[in-house]
Amino acid sequence: METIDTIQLNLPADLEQIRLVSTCISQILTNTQRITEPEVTIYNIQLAVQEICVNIVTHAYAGIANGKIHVDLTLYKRPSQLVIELRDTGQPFQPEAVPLPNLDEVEEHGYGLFLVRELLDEVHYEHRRGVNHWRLSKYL
Amino acid sequence: MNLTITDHVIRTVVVATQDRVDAFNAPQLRERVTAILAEGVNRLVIDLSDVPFLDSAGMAALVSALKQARQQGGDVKLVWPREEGARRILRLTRFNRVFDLTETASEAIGRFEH
Repeated sequence: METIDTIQLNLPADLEQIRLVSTCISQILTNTQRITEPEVTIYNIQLAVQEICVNIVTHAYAGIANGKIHVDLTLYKRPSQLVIELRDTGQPFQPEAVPLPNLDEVEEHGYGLFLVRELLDEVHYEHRRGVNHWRLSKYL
Repeated sequence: MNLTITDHVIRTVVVATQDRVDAFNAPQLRERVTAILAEGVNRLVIDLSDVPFLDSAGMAALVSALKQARQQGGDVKLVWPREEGARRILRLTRFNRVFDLTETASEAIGRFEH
């Protein structure tokens, strides 16, 4: 697939620092043409990636100092798609252990992964050789 | 003629921000709301109209505020964010069925029973 643009980040696993990923998503998509509802699409991708990053900071790296999150954003031309790859060396994650929120009763927790799955086209996670890999994508 | 005039004022507090309400700063919102409720105020309006971004941690802070206020016999009303992405997320998660949402803070204040 033909790549249009890439951005790589190596961030401290910190709730303030991960805001930078939102900025980079906005940046890489700014000049992309023919996105349907660009503002909402960018918002949705930013939110989904934020949820995974927060999960990494608060769960994968819970009790672990100096964690890092490696972020690769790749914008492809055909099909027009943004792929976000996240890597961390924290605790493994068990996506299947996360229940869906009951939308009929408002709850404090459980919306994060639900939103990720709702807002993106592909969500893939694996733990390989001590590294957590997330591969997220959105067709544009 | 003896006239007894009594003012009967029920406080309603509006909390507004122009910042993101996310995992980084949602604890500040929780802390502030808890302090307001501890003052005996149980009618809160959280004005999200200028909030550019709301994540699930921010949403959790809203739910926490709602639960606390209702436990004290009050309520939390929200002002819709102007940001279309955030509006859609509130609908997707059905927050609009649980919270009373209005377009302005003054409208939200008017929704409380007097």
